[in-house]
Amino acid sequence: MPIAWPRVPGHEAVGRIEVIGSGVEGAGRWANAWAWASSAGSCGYCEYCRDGDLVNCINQGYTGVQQDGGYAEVMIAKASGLIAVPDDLSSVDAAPLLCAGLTTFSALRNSPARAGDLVAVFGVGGLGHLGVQYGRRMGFEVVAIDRGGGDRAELSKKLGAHHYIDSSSTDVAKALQALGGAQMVLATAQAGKAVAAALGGLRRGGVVISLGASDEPIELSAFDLLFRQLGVDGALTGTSKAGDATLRFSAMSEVGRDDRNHAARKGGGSLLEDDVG
Amino acid sequence: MIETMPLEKAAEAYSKMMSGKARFRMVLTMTSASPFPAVTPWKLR
Repeated sequence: MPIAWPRVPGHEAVGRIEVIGSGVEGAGRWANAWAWASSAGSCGYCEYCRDGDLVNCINQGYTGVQQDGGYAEVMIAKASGLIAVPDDLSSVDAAPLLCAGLTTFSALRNSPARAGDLVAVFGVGGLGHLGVQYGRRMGFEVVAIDRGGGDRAELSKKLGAHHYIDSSSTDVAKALQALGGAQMVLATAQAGKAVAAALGGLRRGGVVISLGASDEPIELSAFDLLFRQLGVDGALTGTSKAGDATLRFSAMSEVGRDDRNHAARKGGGSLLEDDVG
Repeated sequence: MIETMPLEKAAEAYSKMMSGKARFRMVLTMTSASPFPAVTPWKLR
């Protein structure tokens, strides 16, 4: 991703608004703490914005990439990119949800899978550990897939997975089919091969949603698209309104909450007073 | 699930993340050094 230097990094930032620009309407007027989305804010006038497709705004940079980000005590943010932080979510807990959380939350929320359907999360890492938690709390039957057994399996179950598949020792496609076939697989691993492997685990009409940023080609057969009606899709973050929902849902259902931060917040509230980049 | 580090240790936090040792997220924290009082935004308008 091209970066014009110098640039302040920091893709997911939380802080309090101190000054609002004179031309700003709406955003920032009804909440104390705000987060700056990973997408820096839509323009409102390009052809995509005019069509209501804010995520695909062509004049939108990424925070910390084309716009200065959160590795700073003060940051200038575009109002259209702001996300409201609920009072009962600490800054530390909110920060990692602004890209990884928003992406997995939106992908699950916008997916064709419905409550009770089998949903697999391929890769239990920075994105996947949130995907498993959201999936469980949204009412899906959740399969976590990662390399290794033991503590990985235990962690996945603790996060809410109903099933765990060790991809280093098990044929993922077969294991998913044994569970009835997945309606959706969230592929968070950064590899085209993981997407291809997941395709074999889908039920007819199922879809793989690729979230891992990778330029590795995805190999698939047109037969799968035709005769099994499979879909391959990608999902990129979400609107800032979807970001509001991500943080509210996370606070309500205790996704991504770190008990230590929660204890610290209860203890003195110091973390809430901090700015977090 | 979240490990915090002060902003001063950003490079250390970054390398921990890039080497795959973060479980799962590194969050940089800082105390506010702002000259502005913590006002609620609507009071400005």
